[in-house]
Amino acid sequence: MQTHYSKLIDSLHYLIDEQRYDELYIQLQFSIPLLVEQGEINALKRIFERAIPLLLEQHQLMYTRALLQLVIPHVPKQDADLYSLLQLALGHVYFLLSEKELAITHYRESLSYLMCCEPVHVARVGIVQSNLAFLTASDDSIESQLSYGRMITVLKHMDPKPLAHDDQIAAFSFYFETCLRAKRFDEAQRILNKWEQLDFSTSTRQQLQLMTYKMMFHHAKAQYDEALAVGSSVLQTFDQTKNISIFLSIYTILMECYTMRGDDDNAAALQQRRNELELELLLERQAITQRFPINFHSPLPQTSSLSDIMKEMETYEEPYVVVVFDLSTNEQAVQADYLQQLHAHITEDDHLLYSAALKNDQSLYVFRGDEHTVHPKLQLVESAMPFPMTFGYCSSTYDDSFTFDQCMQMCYAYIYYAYSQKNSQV
Amino acid sequence: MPVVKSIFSLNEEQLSVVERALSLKNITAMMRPSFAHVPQYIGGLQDFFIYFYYEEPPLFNSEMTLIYMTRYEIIQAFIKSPTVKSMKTLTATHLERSLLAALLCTNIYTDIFQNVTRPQLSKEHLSFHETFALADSQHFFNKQFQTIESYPSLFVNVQSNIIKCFWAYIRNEPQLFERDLVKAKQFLQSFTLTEMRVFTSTSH
Repeated sequence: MQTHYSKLIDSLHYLIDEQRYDELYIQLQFSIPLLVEQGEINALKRIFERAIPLLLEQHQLMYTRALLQLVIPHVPKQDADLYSLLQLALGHVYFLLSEKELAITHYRESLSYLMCCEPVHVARVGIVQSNLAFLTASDDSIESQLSYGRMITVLKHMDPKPLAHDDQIAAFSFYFETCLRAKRFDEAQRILNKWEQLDFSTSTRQQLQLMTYKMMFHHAKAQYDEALAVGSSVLQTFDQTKNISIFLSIYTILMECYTMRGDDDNAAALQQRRNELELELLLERQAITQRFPINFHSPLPQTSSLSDIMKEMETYEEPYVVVVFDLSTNEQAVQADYLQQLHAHITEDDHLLYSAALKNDQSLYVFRGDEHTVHPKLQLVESAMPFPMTFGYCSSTYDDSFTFDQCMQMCYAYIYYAYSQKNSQV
Repeated sequence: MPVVKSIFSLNEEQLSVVERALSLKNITAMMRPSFAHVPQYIGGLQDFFIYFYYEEPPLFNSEMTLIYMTRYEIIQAFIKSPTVKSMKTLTATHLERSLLAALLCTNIYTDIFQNVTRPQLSKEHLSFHETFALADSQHFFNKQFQTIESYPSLFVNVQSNIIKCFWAYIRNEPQLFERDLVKAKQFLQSFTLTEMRVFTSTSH
């Protein structure tokens, strides 16, 4: 329906399409109060629903923050749906900027208004609760973490959404690890039982993760023979050249089990194998680093194609980063030749997807922090996170390429925002 | 969220359970934002939590029910509803569920206050309420206050008015009140069923 303000609204959409964010910011400065005053809140909502995911995908964090700070004071809090979504987005931005306290503040603000929505967006509440649980973990008591773990696990099962399976597994991981730390073995056992009932037919990695957790469970209960039995089965069943980071942890536990049983010979043998694996991992990491000397100037995957991308990615056993970029410029076309030698996948719309094994990136450990891991020597990259880091991209208008850590942070933002966008459409 | 004085007679163990529940800031953040820092409503949340958590709730502390009369009347009104009683069967001894149920009920009450009670209060009463809701009502009944005024008549009048408005709403709009309670119960049921589905142990 045409309104008096259609042209103004169209012009804002045009600026978003053209990615002219400076002009967009300036124009929004006077447009937002006007649109709010004229009751064009839905138009404003559509503008931000388009602009924010786009900006986040492009890692334009400063623009995103500026636009959100510009609009939030003008959005009536009675419009809980929009207000909570904007607060959620601002929480993500601060999360990416490593502004923990501000991220917590905005997530909590978002949460209180999410509960004002009619009906309550359970999936979004689950997202915010999960992020908060992760952010507050270092300050929370173990009892609080248990409550949060239980709560997010239930919320994630209450309103399953796309990618729910990974999501549920991640919630289980968070809760399971907390239960082990709290020595709540009965509850940890229940999680493992339930986890086992899930269908893992398509994911070797999740099967491996479950087996590893079983081993951790027995180890934590000082049931060393049982832990060794599971470990032996894992070593025979799974390919150790994949998932090296998990196997390093597995070896550490097995070595401890042998040591506790006084079997130093076996412990030494495992130590040697572990050293070999570690060397293999180091070489692989160097290779990966060499493969990423690129400046990415990329347009983005469209949110609508996320499920297609995810479908394809489900076939991967390793954690991975997906780098998506446009081949429209000469510079990138040259790089494409190079990347195509590395298991690249070209999509129909001429975007290049490149999957890179995540393996064992140190930055993730820094991100997570040692104090949150169940076992100081056991740092499962994916399971240590509240959500699986399974999708990401690298895009930049800057001249320097992103570090792996930055890329992973973007993955975080993107996937959470994609979730909340999808959920908001339900 | 700070623990405020209870209208129930709590022993130390019960008090520590309440403290634990209210320390779950990520969950209590689900309370309506305008009321989340007001002691009177934090008290309401706390009262509901105690009611939902204990199969046999502790006895009311008669002195405190007079001081915090609004909170007492609110919980009385809610627990009269068969829907709330049936919610209790889902929550007793479950901390997270009890807190969730308490939040849902507190949010129902604060919505009623915001949309129904508030517009009916006189300017004077509203201003008084907004100023003193942030304080602990017990101050009105201590000796120091009594040296200024022997009986806190304005405080009592405002509270009575709020209570009257609330009871009138329940009398006049029982179906609306019940509709909100049923919605809360459905949410809680869904949460509980999911929790049972996820965590009920199956033999291994």
